[in-house]
Amino acid sequence: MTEHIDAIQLSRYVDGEIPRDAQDAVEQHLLDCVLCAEQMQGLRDTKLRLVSMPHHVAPAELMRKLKGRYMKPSWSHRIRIWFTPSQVWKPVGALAAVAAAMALWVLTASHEPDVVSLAPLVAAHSRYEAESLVPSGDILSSDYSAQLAAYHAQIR
Amino acid sequence: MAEKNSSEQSGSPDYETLLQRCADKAYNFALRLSGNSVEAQDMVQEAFARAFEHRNKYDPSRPLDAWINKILFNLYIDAQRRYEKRHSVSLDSPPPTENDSSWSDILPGPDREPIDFMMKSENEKIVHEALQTLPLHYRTAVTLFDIEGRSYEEIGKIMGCGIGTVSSRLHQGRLLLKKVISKLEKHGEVARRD
Repeated sequence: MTEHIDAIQLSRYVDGEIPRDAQDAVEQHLLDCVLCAEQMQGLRDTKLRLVSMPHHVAPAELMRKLKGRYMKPSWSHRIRIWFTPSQVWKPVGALAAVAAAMALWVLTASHEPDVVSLAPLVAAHSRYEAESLVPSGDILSSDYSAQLAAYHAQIR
Repeated sequence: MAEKNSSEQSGSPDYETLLQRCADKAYNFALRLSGNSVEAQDMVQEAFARAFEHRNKYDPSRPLDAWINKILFNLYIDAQRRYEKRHSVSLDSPPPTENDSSWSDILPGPDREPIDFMMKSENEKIVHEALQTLPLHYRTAVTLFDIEGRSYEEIGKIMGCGIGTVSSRLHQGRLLLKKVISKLEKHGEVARRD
């Protein structure tokens, strides 16, 4: 059997940090030497336990402090943020659109009362009056039905 | 930061991602070094402040998080030295008050509890506890290679030593760690049986 493998060399072998030819020599030795194989297994087990250690994310409080100190946004970035449609801007935009529409309606609508021409009504009234269709005096006492019958007969 | 230090870039999503990634890596490293979440957060803030202050010294050909980890490591070593200098006292000297029987009754033990709530698995708790018992240089080498996944070369740059020293520290660190882990597991089994 060849000499035992140097401990540090064995550690480097476990880390995959030795050249290919040295790696082959170590592997060949490990097949024959129980002591070195046990030592290598011990190192590998410890390494595995270390490798399986979880990674923690920096706490939110720490990130808040770091961002507050090292992430001062530029003016152009701030302006871009302001003009980017966001959850705030969408309802504000909708409200502004409604307000603009109402303002437009108020401004364009005429505030003068509608002038209705009474001339056709007056003309119609005069015509009916001329044709004696408009009852005069007390409607109950007038012979309205007879007048209406006479009018029908006339137009027929 | 030094990679993107213009005011235009400092607000971009890329910059935010970079900051988050560096902060995560730095926090994990600090957590393994100090073993305490609050201390780790303070260390990360200090490291970022130093990095920002000396951003002109940053070599853009190297990853930013490796540079921050180097600053973090130096900060931790300085803090440890300062602490040891300020708090070193002979255990044979008389305690400050007559009521106390010895220095060991007064001096605080290792602060383990603040990180316990974060540890989800039994393996993590044991390995973390075992790591805290290792000498700083072994702990740093093992953490950077096996947990952080850095190369020998990067570790050498962070710790300011050669690749040979890195592999030696890694090997010694793992051997020690293996012993401590098996001791802790035996102790845990005994405690559970009792």
